[in-house]
Amino acid sequence: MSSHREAPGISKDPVADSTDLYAFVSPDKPGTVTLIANYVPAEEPAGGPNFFEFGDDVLYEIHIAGNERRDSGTVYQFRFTTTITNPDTFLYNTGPIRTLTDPHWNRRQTYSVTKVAGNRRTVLGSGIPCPPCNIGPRSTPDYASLAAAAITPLRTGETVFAGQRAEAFFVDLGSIFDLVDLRPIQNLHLIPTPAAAGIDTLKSVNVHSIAIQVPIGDLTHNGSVPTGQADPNAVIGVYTSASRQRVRIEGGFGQPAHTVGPFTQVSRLGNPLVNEVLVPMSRKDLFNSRPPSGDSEFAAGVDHPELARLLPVLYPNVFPNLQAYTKPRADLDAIFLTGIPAGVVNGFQNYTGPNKADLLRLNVAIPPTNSPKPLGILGGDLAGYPNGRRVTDDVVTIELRAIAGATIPLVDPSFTPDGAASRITDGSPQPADTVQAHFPYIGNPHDGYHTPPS
Amino acid sequence: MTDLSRRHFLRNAGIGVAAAGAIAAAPGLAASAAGAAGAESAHPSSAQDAAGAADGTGNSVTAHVVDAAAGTIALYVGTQEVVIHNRRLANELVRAAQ
Repeated sequence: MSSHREAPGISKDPVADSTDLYAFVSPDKPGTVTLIANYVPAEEPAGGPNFFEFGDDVLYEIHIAGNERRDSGTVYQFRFTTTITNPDTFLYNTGPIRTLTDPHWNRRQTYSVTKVAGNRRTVLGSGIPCPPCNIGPRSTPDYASLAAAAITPLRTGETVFAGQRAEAFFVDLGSIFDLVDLRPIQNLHLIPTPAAAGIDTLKSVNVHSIAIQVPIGDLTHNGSVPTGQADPNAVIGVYTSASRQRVRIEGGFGQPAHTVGPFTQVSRLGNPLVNEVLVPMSRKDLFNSRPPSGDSEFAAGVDHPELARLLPVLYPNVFPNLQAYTKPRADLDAIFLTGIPAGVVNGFQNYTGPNKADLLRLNVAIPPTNSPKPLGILGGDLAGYPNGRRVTDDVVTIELRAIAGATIPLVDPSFTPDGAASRITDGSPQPADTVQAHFPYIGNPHDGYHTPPS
Repeated sequence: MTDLSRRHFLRNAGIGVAAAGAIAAAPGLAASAAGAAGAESAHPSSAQDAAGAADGTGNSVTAHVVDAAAGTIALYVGTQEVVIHNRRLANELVRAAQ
């Protein structure tokens, strides 16, 4: 998946598992950037009585780096608090939940938002309510109103939302991890199968989103609102992380656990699929514990990706040019680790310097488009991935094609991609109801009553 | 360190491991979840002491004997970590945990 359960360690700690990160100039408020960090993968909507929630003991962060800075320039921190209002019921709710203060709602979460810039910490808001999970028509009869009520403008200019959302990431996991079964070349696989339509494995599950919409000037290195894409200050680098305190002692005998010590990073995410696909399994937990500034140690997996070596083996005679290409993959290095320098893609750059760091890089001077193309820059749409990432970007197909060689000519004109490189896809469509036009841009979650187990 | 001095840590550690229900853990020791105060008897009170710190008292010190031979001890209080080197204290903790 994008980053769902991508490493052995974090796969056993869902509430701290970052699944997707989005960063884009808000299409309906172009003076702002929307940042969305998703956590808690593959939530089954009917997961009662203990429905999904954020971890009170997890420090969630969205980091902004700009220019040569590879780690954090500005950090938005989110901390959650869970409250039980009725200790005598086993139910999540004892009647319909009609408002965010409804007494029928038994287990609820609030959160605080803190901005850290250098040594300065500013609490932007606290006690902000999350919406409930989407239980069903009796319990959450007007879910859209509950979710809308949880969109909270802050006095400092940001708007925030944290709570359950539909899973907008789409991928055919069954085919990808069945020895990279790709469409439309399934019949050319070493172990061929008949053509079959793609299946979005995640179409019926939910996720928990942390979304913040920030004025552009609060994110750029020098506080400006750049208007020219060539302006170095126009590029921001984004990643999300989750951290836990180093020591946890189980309370036992009904007592709460005791956590103590500094927070240490257990999960991080910049570009989709980097840790998932480009980092060997033996080093995935290490990747999750490191800041992006140390990513040169993972560069070998980007420069010589295992998947690029596997494709010619799994698809004999389909990728001969890719098979013969032995140079380090400067195209992937640019996409994932440095940003794309000026002169590679006409009218675009999101370069942050030669230092290698897995950051989602967004050029905030590229205006949003009214007709986004799912293939982003690969499809000629400069407002899409890998210029940040929008909810509708088909990052699986983009990255599959890039790894298969479609982007090599951007940096090495002597290379001719194999014909299949610009055609392959996992074939899964994005369900329309997982996206909405306004903040927080990801659709309301599937409810547990109508949605069968995934 | 922001709100606690190293001296304060050391003082808490010296007192805490003996009296405040701090936790000593060392590789190969069964005391990974047993407090020094409770280690003399594997009584549930040690766990309850530990849990008590979650009530917000905030003065509990958790000690991790990282390397007893070198005397390396990591101390945890709140969101702070301090690493000290004290062979005598490390050995006392190991003995208490056996």
